[in-house]
Amino acid sequence: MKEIMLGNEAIARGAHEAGLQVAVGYPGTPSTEILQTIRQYKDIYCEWSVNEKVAMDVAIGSSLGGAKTIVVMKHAGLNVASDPFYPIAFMGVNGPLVLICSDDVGAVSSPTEQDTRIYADLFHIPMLEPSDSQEAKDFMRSAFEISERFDTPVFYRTTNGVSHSMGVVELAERTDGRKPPFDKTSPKFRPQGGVHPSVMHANVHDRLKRLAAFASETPLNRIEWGDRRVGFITSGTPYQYLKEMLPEASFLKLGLTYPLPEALIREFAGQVEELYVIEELEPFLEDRIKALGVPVRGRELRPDVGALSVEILSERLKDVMQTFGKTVPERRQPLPGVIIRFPTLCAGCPHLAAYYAIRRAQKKIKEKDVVILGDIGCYSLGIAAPHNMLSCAFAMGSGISVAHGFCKALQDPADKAILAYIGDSTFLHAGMPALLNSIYNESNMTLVLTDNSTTAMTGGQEHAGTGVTLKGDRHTAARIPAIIRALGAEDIHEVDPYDFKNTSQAVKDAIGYQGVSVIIAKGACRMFPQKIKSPAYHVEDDLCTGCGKCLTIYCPGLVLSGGKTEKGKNKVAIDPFVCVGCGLCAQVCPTEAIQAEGGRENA
Amino acid sequence: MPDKTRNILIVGVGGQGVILASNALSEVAMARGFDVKKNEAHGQSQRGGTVPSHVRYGTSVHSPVIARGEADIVLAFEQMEGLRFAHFLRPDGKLILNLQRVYPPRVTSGMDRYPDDVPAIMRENGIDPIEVDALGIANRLKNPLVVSTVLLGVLSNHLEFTEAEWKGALSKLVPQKHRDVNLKAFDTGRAL
Repeated sequence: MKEIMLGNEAIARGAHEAGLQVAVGYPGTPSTEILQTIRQYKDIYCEWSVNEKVAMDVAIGSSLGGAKTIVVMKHAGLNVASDPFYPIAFMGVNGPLVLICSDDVGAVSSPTEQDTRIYADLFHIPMLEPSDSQEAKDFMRSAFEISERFDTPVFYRTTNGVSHSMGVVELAERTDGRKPPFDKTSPKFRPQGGVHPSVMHANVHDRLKRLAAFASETPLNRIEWGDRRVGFITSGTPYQYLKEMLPEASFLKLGLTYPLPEALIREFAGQVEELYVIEELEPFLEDRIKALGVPVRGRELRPDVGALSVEILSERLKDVMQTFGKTVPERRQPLPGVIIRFPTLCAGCPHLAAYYAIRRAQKKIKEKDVVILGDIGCYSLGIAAPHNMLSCAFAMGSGISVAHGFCKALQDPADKAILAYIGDSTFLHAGMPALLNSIYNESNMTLVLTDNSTTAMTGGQEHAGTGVTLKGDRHTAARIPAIIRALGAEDIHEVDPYDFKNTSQAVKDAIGYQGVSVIIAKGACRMFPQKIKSPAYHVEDDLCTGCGKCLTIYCPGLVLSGGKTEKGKNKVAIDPFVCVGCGLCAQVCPTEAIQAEGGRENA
Repeated sequence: MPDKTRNILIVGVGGQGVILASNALSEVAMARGFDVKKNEAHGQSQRGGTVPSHVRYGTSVHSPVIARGEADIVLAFEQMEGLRFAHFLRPDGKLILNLQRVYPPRVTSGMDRYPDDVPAIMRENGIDPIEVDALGIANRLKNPLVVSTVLLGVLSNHLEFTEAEWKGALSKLVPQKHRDVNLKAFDTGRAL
C-alpha cells in the first residue's frame, strides 16, 4: 500500500513499523509532526517531556528498560539535550536508542541556523540522513538495527527539506520484539566505579572502526554509476536536487554519513574524473573526505548558508551542466509591487494585549529606559516591526537570566527598567531555574509571563501547565503561580491581559518594586488547542476620529477603512473574518467608535 | 528539465486552504500512479504568512521544490501572492489568479500600499493571468470556505485528470458534512 507522507510522518511510520515502543521529545520546528504522528499508534508510549534534556534522560531510562526508543527534537533542542547524551554515547545502550534531530536549514522558524552533523563526530556515534519520505521511513528500521548491532545510540538527522516535504511511501507491517531490562549489577553504565571512562573511550573508538567498515558495506551507502566524467558525493535533499539536474552523472549517495565509508569513497574517487562533494551548510563531508587525502571540490561551488535548491545549484554548477550539454533555464525576475508579508501575532492574541499594556506602562514611566529581554515563542515575533518590543532573543528560557546578568552589569541601574518576557511552555521548559537564580541572587527585574496555556508557536502542543499529555490524557496541571511563589518571588501580580488598564498598572507597580517582580498575564491562545472566536466587533464609522490609537495594538483585525475624516485622517474598520472579538480595541478607543455585535444599543 | 515532470505551484495566505488544494492534487496524481513530491514552509503559515506549496508529479520525481522559471502553473489564492510568485512560471506557463486580496499588516498600518491593479502589473510583465472571483462564487454558494475547491475546479481544466479522479480525491480529503458543497464548488470552478 502506498501513501503520500510528510517526511516527519514517514519517520513516525517507519519507527512504528520497526517496533518502536517509547517515543519522547519536545516540540520544535521542523521536528514537531514526528511525535504528533506517533501518538495515533496505540502500541507506543509517547510523551512531550518538559524539555529536551529531560526527554533525553527519559529516553535513556527507556533504553535501560529494554524498549526500542526514540527521542525527538529540533537542532536547538539538541544543544539542550547534549549533556546526558554524551555519556550514553560513551557507554552504549540496552534497548535500541535513536536520537532524531531536525535542522531548520534556512532558519525558517528559529533564531539560529545550525548544522548538527558535527554532533555525530563529537559523540562518536553513527549518523543516518534520509533524502526523501520513503528513505525517512526505511532508515528508521536501519537505525534500530545499527543501534542494536553496534551497541550505540544512533543519530538520525534530517533537515526541513526532508521533514517538511511529502513523497510517496510504500508501507509495511509492524514487527515487534523487546529486550529485557538492563542488568542492574552490570558495570556498563557505571562510570568510575564500574568501567573507567578511559576504557569506555577506547571502546567507543573501537566501535567507530567497526562502523566505518560497515559504512562501506551497507546498502545505506551506494554508488550509482553513470557518466564517469563527473562524480558527486552527496546526501539528503542535495542528492535529490543533483539527480534532478544531472541524472547522467555518477553518484556516491550517502545515507550513513558518519563515520564515512572510506573504502567506498576511495573506490568512487578513483574512477571519476571530476569529484564534487555537495552538501548543505558546513563542509562536514568535504573536510573529512579531504582529511582522507582525497581531493574534492565543493565548498567553493555552493553557498555556506541556507538551503540549497535546483535553482542555486544549477547556477553554481553551470560548467558541469555544460559538460552534459545542458543549459540553465532562463529565470524570470521578480515582478514589481510585491509587499513583504511577515508572519504576525494573530488577531486577539494575548501577547498583543500584554505588549500593548507594557507600552502603556512605558509611557507613564518616562524617567526609566525600559529594556525587554526576550525569549522563544510566538512572542519572538515581537522582535520585529511594528512591535519592536524585544531587544533580543537567545535560547529557551534565556531571557530571565540574561535580564539578571544585564541588571548586575549596570553601573547605574536606576535609569533602567529591566524586563524579561516569556510564555508558559518556555517558562516550564527552562525558565524555572532561571527565575530561581534571579531571585536567589537578588536581581532587580520584572518578569512578564504571558500564559496562553499552550505551546503555540509550534502549532499548539500540550505541556505540563495544561495537564494534558501527548496521548490526550488529563493529568495534574502544573500551577505556574504556585511554582513562582515557591521559587521565592514575593511581588506577584496575576492579571488578565485583556484588561489593559489593570495590566499596565501592574507593570508600572512591578517596575517600581525593588527586587524580582513577576506579572502573570493569563489569556488563552485564540488558535490552540481550539480556535476561540467571539462575535466580531465593528467600527461605527461616524464616531471614528482617525486617531489611530487602536492601530497601535497591531492587531491584524484592524484595517484602514479607506475613508477619511474631515481633517483627512484615515478611518479604521474591522475585518469581520479576522476579528475574534477579544474587545481590547474597544477598550482602547477614546470615542467608543468600536462596538460589539449589536452596536450602540447593546453597549 | 529532461522528463515531463509537472510543476504546479499553489500560493496563498495561511488559512485560505492552500494545503487542502495541494493535498488534493497530490492525491489525484498518486492515484493515477505518478510519483509525487510536495513541499511547503511549515511553522509560520498559521501566523498570516505567505504559504507557497510546491507540487511536482511525473514518472520519477527527485526535488520536492519547483525552481524559479519552471512552474507549469501558478495557482494564486490571493493577488499579492500571485504577484510574489509569478516569476516562478516557465515562459509558456499559466497563472490562475483568484482576485481576493488579503492585506498584509504593512498595508493596513499604512506603511505600504497594495497595488490597485495587480493583473495589469502581470500583463505589463508578459504574464496574462486567468482571473477568477472565487470568493464571489463561494459567497454565492453561501460558504466562503469553499474558495479552495472552486480554484481546484479551475485548475482541473488545465491538468490531465478526469472529473471522477478529482472528486474521488476530494471526497477522501473533505469531511462528510462539507462534501456536497465542496463538490458543487469544484463543479462551478470547472465550468468557468
